[in-house]
Amino acid sequence: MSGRGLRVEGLSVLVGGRALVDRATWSAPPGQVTALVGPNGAGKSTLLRAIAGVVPERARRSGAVLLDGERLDAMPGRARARRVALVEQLADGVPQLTAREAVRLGRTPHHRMLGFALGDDDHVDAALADAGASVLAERRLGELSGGELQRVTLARALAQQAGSPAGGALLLDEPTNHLDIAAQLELLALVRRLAADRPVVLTVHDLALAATHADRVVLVDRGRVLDEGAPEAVLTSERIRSVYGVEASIDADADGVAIRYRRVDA
Amino acid sequence: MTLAPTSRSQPLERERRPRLPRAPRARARRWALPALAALLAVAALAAVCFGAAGIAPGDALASLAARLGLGATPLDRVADAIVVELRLPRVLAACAVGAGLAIVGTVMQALVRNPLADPYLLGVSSGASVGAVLVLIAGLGVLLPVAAFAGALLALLATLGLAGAAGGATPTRTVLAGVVVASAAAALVSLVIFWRADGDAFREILAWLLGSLASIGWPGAAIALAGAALALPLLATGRLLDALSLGDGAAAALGVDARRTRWALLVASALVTGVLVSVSGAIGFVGLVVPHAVRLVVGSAHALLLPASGLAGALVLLVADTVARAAFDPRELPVGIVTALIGAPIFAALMLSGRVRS
Repeated sequence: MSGRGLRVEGLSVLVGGRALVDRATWSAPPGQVTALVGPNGAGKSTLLRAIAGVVPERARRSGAVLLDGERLDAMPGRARARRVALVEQLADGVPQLTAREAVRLGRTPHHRMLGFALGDDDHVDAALADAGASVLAERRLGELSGGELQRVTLARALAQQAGSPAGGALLLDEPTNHLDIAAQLELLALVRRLAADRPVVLTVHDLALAATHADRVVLVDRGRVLDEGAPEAVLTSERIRSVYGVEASIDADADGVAIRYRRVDA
Repeated sequence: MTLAPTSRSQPLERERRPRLPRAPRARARRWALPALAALLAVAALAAVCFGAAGIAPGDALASLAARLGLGATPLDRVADAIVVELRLPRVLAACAVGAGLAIVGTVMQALVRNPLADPYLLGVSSGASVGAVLVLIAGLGVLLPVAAFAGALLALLATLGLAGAAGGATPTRTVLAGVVVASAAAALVSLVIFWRADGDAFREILAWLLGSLASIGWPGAAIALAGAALALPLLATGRLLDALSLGDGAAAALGVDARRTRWALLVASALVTGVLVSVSGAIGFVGLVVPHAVRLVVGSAHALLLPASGLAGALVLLVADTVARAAFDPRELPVGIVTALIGAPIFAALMLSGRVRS
């Protein structure tokens, strides 16, 4: 199947006999922000990582992942890494690296494995600027706040895709985790800008946030995709009750969506 | 499970924020390599001149120039022989072994994401000790480099075989397999010594186990230089090591196959270590402490960290070896004692300042 954007077809991730992701099929068009939502352990992160070529040790992956009609899952690692970038949950574990060094790591798939050339300063600077992280360039990662670190990690993902003739997809795993409200809104505005010319997929727990800021929602439960589409069509009180087991009353107005939850009495 | 991101430990790391050293200044990074190279050149000249028979720097340089056919007047025979036959090979060997150990130590620390990793991580030096002790006991000292290298290879195969059989060379499994093999080899060494060694052999064995560059001539220096040459390609792995330091999952997302890359670099590093150890014995602390100290100055990005560690390692071992041969003249200390005496307090200081991180 061709067509622009990211398309996942029958993707499964199996560990032993257990399916962490079970024949998932959904798509994320360019120019839109797509939110993956679902309970803890639904397989959102596993799904996102499998698209980026990251599978758990001893896991089997099957199915197809297409970006603008090309099979990502059949590409060699470096070619795939130039097309799809994954931002994990505050995962940069090297606190002594400077932000610029961390962003330069995004250029890894554009170089031969062995070599001395640092280069790519233009792409690195542009990525830092696009992510609003230019002022952080010489700071160490360990000194940054959660929001600053998230911007630097995003800049790394942008640097990873810069200079590719073909379009890229951006995958963000829980990008708003650990961020205060202001930092969340700032990050979501940035994500919105970045989605202008590429598909952006993010996982998120806050359903109201997904309904307010995403163009599309993909609902995942126990490894399976239950539904996808516009937020108001997917995130209904009935759906939330059946998947999460809680009562939800949804209020939508021009400013966004608010959801109040109540436990279902046993 | 190796794919678990370090996100859980992140908040903890960040609580200690004030203790992190500030970003290395661009100036320190720019001048690190030229400054270390200049220091090394000065130290090498000083080491050639320093010793029981003092030689003026000008004379030493003249002697070298004459040997290289640059037309200078040669020195008198004895001084010339001291410079060219005794001290020069030893200085070159110290530089080669020090540089190689520091580079390999840096690589190992990145590969297993463990600040305590050193070149001997895979049991290589313990394996080499078994080979060395066996030939020393048998009175076949000329075979020492060959036997030591063979022992190192066997230990490497045993470690990788064990890690592989347990499911693959993840950082934790590699470290554990190395510990097992090293313990077994150390027990073998003790057994052989206990069973067979008399006074002279014992002193020889002890010197080798502690690491020593005494009585190294041109053949030994050539082996050490070959080992350092083997380490040179590792200088080009900076980008890979940076990617691996983010974790196996993040490396995979950047297109780097963490398991295969780690395997290849572990083998390459262990081979370098095996060659170096075969002439010098297991000199401790250089490969452990130097990368940490250099990281404080030039930062954690490996493109610069690797060559800077190499130069610093050469400098440290050269100075330590010169102290080892001069401090208790006419008796020599095994240089491994000197590096441990210097290295242990430095490592302790780095630890106390909270700066030992991989």
